[in-house]
Parts: sequence; C-alpha cells; structure tokens
Amino acid sequence: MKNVQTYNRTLRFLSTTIVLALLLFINNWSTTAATISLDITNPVCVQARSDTGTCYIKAFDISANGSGGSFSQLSVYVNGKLRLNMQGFFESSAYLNADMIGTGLAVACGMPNASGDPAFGNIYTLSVTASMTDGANTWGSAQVRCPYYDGKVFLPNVRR
Amino acid sequence: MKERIVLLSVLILLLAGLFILSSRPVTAQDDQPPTPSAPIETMGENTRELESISPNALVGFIGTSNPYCYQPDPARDECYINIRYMQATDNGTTSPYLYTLEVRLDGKLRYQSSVFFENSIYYNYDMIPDGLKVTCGSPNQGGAGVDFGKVYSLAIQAKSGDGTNMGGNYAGVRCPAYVP
Repeated sequence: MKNVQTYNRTLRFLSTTIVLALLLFINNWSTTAATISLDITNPVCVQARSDTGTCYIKAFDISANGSGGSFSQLSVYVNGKLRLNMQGFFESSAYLNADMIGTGLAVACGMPNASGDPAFGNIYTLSVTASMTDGANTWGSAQVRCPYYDGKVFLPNVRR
Repeated sequence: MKERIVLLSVLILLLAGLFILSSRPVTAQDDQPPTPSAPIETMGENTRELESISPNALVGFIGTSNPYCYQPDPARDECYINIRYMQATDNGTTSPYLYTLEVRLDGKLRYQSSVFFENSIYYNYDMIPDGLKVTCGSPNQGGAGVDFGKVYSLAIQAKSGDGTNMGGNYAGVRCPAYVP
C-alpha cells in the first residue's frame, strides 16, 4: 500500500515537472520578438545666411538600435512630410549624423512672430520613426524653432 | 516501476536540455554574417552574395551599412542617395584578387574605387559629400506608399582585375516623394 502511494506521488511530481518544463519552453520560444529604441540628439534649425529666408533643419545625430539583425528603416519627417529614409542592410541599427545630409533639410524660416513668438520665425515638428522587419517600431518627435527672416536684403556696395 | 521512473527522468533531462538551449543568450556573433558557409542571403528587399568562398574570394560579404535617400528641398524633385559606409576585403593570397568596388543605381555605374597595392576598399559617406543625385519621383511611384517616390535598385559589387564579380550587395532604396 505504502509502495503504491509513493509511486503515485512520484508520478504526480514528475508529471507536474514535465508540464512546467514544457510551459517554460513554449513561453521562452514565443517571446523572442525584436525590440527597438530611438535616440535623437540636439535638433537644430539654422539660418546660414541672414539675407535669405531659407533655414535648414538637422540633428546632431539620430540613432535607432534593434535587438536583432533585422533593422528595417528609419524615417525623418518635417511637419509630416517625409524627408529622409534610411534602411538597414543585414544589420541591427541605423545611425544618422548631421554631416550625412549636407547643409540639412531646407525649410522656410518664416517672418518674426510667424509662430507666436516674436523672437523666432516658423516652428517645425521633426518626427522620426524606426522599425524592425517583424513590425516592432518606435518614434520620437521634437519641436524645432527657426530663426526668423525679416525680409532684409543686403545689396553689395558697388561703385560705378 | 523503476523502468518508468528512469524513462521519465530521461524525458525531463531532454526537456531541460531543450529549455537551456532555447534560452541561450543572443551574442554579438549571432549578428555576424555567417560567412563563408552561406554565400547568398536574402532579407526582404536586401540580398548579399559571394561568388566563391575564402580564400578564393573575399573574406566575407561586402560590409554595407544604412543606405539612405533624402530630399534636401521639398520644392525640388531632387533627392540624394548615399551609404553610411561599405567595405570589401580580400585576403590577398589566392586569385582572383579584389581590384575594384562599384556602385550602380538602376544599373547605371555611379561610383567606383580601386585598390592600390592593398587588399581592401573602404567607403565612407563623406566621400560623396551630398550623395548621388536622383529624382525623388511622385507619391507611390515605386509602389512603396504615398510618402515615398521612386525606389532605386542599389547594386554594390566587388570585382577582380579581369572584371569577374567576386561578391555583391543588392538593395532597394526608397526615396521621399516630390509633391509639387
């Protein structure tokens, strides 16, 4: 009788262990989805020449890091308009620094107080999205204030 | 009874082994190109290939990072394609030897670099200051969605002195759309 009880107890213990091991295995198998993080450093707007109404938006750097080797794309939008698309090529991350886009993304500086602040011209929304091939994605957004353009034109001082 | 217990113990050990294997932490090696055992790999619209296995060819796939396309001025149908970096390396011991690295956009040669008594070729984005100029294209022209215009086929190929292809990377690069 005692032997039968011990046998049953051992059997129950072993069955429970097997079920738990199976559950852990299945759970671990299904939680390998990729993750992704995004970092935007120092978005800027610069009016390189004060005699024009063209300003340039860029960031010191923008980076996205994924957990696997299947990075898909990083997209940069200014006021909702796609301006840059960077893709992964069998890699896990994307990195964009200010030098990689020449002078930057051209925008209109705007007149003084164009956005409600007399010290600035237009304000733009710089948005960045990044995604992995399995659909994991992230995004970030920043308001960028541009110097104003007061319409002054500097004519060269030329003598006849 | 003993036999059953032994059988169940073996089963538990097998399951435990499977569990340990599946929970193995991902290491940096997992991201490395599995050269030279897999000379062709495809992921989405990206493909990379080696024509032969080292030491008869390159030591691995041509390293390529982050091809990109940007539109500096939204009022113009002008975009620029560039690549953060790329590198091709030959071990230099067995022919054919690496001689040139070529970049083509939609089949048109746009960049080539050669070796000079060396075994590798390296490119950095600032070697073409603004990038390779292309037209952006109208919304969804390349079928990638309304935010995108044209989709360009980018081919990066390493070749030997007699023009033999030693390896290549191929990708579709999506440009922002030009919206007049």
